[in-house]
Amino acid sequence: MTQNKVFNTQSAPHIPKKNSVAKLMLTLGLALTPAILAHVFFFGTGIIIQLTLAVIFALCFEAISLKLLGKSIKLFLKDYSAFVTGLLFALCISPVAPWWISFIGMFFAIVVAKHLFGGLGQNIFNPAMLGFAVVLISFPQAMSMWLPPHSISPYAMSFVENLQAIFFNQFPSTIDFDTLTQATPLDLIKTGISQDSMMSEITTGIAFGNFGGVGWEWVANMYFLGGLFLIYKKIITWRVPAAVLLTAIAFSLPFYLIDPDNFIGPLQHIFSGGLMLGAFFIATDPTSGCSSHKGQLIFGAGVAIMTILVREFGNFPDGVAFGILIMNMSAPLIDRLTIPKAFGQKDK
Amino acid sequence: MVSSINSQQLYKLQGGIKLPHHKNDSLQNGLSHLPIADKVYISLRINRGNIAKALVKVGDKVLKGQIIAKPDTTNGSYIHASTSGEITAIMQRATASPEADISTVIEITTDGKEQWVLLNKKPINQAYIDSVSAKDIIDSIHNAGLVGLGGAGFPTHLKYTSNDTKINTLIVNGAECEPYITCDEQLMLSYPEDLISGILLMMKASAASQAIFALEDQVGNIKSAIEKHIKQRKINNIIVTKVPTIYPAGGEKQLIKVLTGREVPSGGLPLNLGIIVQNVGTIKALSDFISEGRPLVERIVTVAGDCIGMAQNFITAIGTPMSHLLQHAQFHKDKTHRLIIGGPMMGYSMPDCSTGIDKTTNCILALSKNITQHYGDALPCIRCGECVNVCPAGLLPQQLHWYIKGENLEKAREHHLFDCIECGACAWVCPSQIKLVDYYRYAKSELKYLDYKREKSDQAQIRHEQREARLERLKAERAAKRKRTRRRTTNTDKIQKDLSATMERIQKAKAARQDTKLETKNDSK
Amino acid sequence: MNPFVSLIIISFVSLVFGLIVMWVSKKFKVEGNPIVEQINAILPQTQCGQCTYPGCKPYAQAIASGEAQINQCPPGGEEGVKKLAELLDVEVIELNPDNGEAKEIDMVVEIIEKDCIGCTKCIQVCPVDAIVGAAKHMHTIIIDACTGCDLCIPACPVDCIITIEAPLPKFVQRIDKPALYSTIEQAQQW
Repeated sequence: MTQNKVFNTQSAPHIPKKNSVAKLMLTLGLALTPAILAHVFFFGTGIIIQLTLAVIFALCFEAISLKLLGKSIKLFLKDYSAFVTGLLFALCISPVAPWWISFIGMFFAIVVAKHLFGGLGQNIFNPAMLGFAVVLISFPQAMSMWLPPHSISPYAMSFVENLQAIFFNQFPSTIDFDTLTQATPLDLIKTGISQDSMMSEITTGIAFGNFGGVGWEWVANMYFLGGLFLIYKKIITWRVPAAVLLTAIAFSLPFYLIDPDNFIGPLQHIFSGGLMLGAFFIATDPTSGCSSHKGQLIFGAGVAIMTILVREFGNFPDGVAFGILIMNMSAPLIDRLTIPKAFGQKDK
Repeated sequence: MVSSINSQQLYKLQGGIKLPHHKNDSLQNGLSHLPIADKVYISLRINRGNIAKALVKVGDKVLKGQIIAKPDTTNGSYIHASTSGEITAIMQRATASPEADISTVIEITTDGKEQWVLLNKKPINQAYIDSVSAKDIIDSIHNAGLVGLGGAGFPTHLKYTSNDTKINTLIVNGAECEPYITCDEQLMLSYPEDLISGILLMMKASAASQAIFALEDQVGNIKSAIEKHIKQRKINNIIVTKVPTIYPAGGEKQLIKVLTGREVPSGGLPLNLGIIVQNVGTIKALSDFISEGRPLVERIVTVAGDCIGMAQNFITAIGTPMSHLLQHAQFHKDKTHRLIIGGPMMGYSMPDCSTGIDKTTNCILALSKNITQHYGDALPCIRCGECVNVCPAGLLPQQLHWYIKGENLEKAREHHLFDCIECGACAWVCPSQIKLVDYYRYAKSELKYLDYKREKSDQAQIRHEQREARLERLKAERAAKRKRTRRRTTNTDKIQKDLSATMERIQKAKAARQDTKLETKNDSK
Repeated sequence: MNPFVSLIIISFVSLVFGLIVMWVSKKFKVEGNPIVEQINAILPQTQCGQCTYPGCKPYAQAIASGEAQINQCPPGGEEGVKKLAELLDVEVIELNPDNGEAKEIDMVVEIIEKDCIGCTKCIQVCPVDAIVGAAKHMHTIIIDACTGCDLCIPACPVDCIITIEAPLPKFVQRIDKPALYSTIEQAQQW
């Protein structure tokens, strides 16, 4: 019998699910849209420029890295992972941050955090968070310069004025620079508490809304909405976000109850800064997170605890990035300790 | 445990996926007898890669149902001629097995007469079931050449001959969880009565006190039809239960979990829980053997897929070439991208359509490129965790893949690699299109090989050490011998000394005597 | 505070800790294999002598005493070197080509029985007693026990020993490792 191969002999399964990494990443991008729209509504069009910049830098660095490493550019650019990294990074930085913030951030995110560790699926750290942490530590001045939300802002910057601010560091001359920009709510709290102000005094300020900062809380709501969409689409599971948010509440509550004048309240915590973004979009990054279900819960709890410790006792106003990076480091260990019981294995 | 089954409580299966059924096409065209092919190719492969020994030679005339090969050990099953005709070749040929393995195959050129051997028929009624002994049924199972028709091909009689644990439950597996396959559903539709008889025989053989007949909840009115027959025959220890249609709920271990909430221990068999799981096809085959005397020479095969014009189920003689089956189902060869034996999740693709079907061949699928094509490119694992959510064995597929890719096979074993049932759910959901099951199969085979080598080297070490010890002992013995000889030599000296001393004494004595003699002589003189 | 009091307290505390340490070390004593045994367990036990030592155990002893490198065992291959390096916590090094090359497939030997003159020379050199036979009678090799050390080949005066591929038992079937992807074309063929 001669073996004439007439048909394709790939192994099972023969009816693949219509699923791909690119689809996954694009869905993630789609889930960010409501938050981006809210961002534009409250903080102006600067974020659009930042998103575009970050994505362009991300794709460029991705292409260059792939080229240098001799990998297929066509194959890997189509997976949209660099695109998502760019989006997430841009959402963390100020809408009027100078352009080189994105450049440096994306360099560390794509080249250092991703490709030096082996590319897609091999990174220990979440690329966007590593890039963000680098610029946050290196350029605190540029990073803390935020715009106040429209409702309380004396002046709304136009698209062109945003462009000028980002590329040439030129701000509208008709208005005083210090009135134009404002620190983030968490920054205000940090400085307020260091000046021995009470929490109740700080949060009655004009920049604060019902839970978090004005505008900020709405962006957080939109992240929450996007996150629910991702859970519905089964891109992420409920475990990490639930662990982050519930632990954040549970861990901050005792502090708040004991000394409400010096500690941030639980709701303030979860609606401020990057916690909601981190909980649904960044801590859920599967590559740098835990794989076992129990491990994911521990991972999320760890992120929340680290974040709150940094916010309450650290030098930085927000600690989501540090929390996630530290938990990224511990993820392999957590995974090893939480190997699930396989079918038919005896309970240990 | 018994009470939990009586209440028909179902347990949740971990993981699993929902697949499109694609079952209606082949069901609506019904069941028909496939005319016998000109030549049939009967494979002599039996479980675990063993080959049965042919009892016929080229040129022999055989009758349908005649035993043509028997296993070397009691762990195999008999192989019967599936039609009458002449043996025209015994050769090495591709068989209906993964990778289309080459194995010994008997070619029978059919004479078209379908002449049976003398058949021993007994009607299966209550009187017969009461009178027959369990051993007789088990012998029948063996003589009928029964193997698990669900896919694994485990010789059926082995399930009944182990007497370590008492069997209390027989689970009748009518849950075909893979898409397209309908041969079991068709069988349950067409032969409910034979099935009930078969179940009673199997229960008698295993001394099980009850039977659970498991069906998928997507099948239509089969449940009521079977229940009607059970009621007619006044049987009260067979329960018909519907299980959710989740792939792979029809897998033996998964089905037990869903029905009883118990998990077959890792590395163990359902027997360890006092449970036997039997496919409906096997049960029907036993009932056929006892009531009609026909051994397992034919089975129902589903021919389906989008390249089949007339998808349907055929009663097919074992060994019939796939091409013959496909011909009768309006096969579009040009459109076909993959030709699969078994289901789309666990079946194996065949290089061509010339191989003969096996006892375990439940389905032949011809799929076009539209269906088999992957959606995206193959990329590295991004550890998205989809596979963890669907794994029915509770494993971490992405970690296993990671370790196997890095040749860290022992780590994979630590992560319970050997509990993987190769159901393919992980590979199905993988957004990076990684052929995960291929990795697991590779790692399992390699670990088995490494274990074998380790065992061999342990033996070599023992043999070497024993040889060293023996050589040492021989050396010591030789040395001891030499020493003894030397001692004996020194002894001789002493003896000689003693001897010479004695001789001296004797001579002295002689001389003295002579002196006295002389003296006496002189005296006497 | 009186220095004597602190002296007494410190001594007492250290005594207590000392007793705890003693108790723990007795209670949880690990009956660890001596290092030679652990090295020997990794070596392939072919007893071929390619490492220049007369058997696997002597080589294990030589490694343990630091006298030999870990890269002198061709039958163990790269895999073996890796395992030894892991055990001893040293760098992985390449196999020393002076000791021979690692074989791709496992080999064993077979006697061409019609050529055998029954000289028993091979029996004497076989380190694992895998050859049976008597003087002036044909010898044969117990294939399952042969380690493929090839020591018998030079010993045979009539060159009737040949190497053959080692047969594997039926339950051991090796499958090739799947390739992940290398080109887009290959990936799209799936």
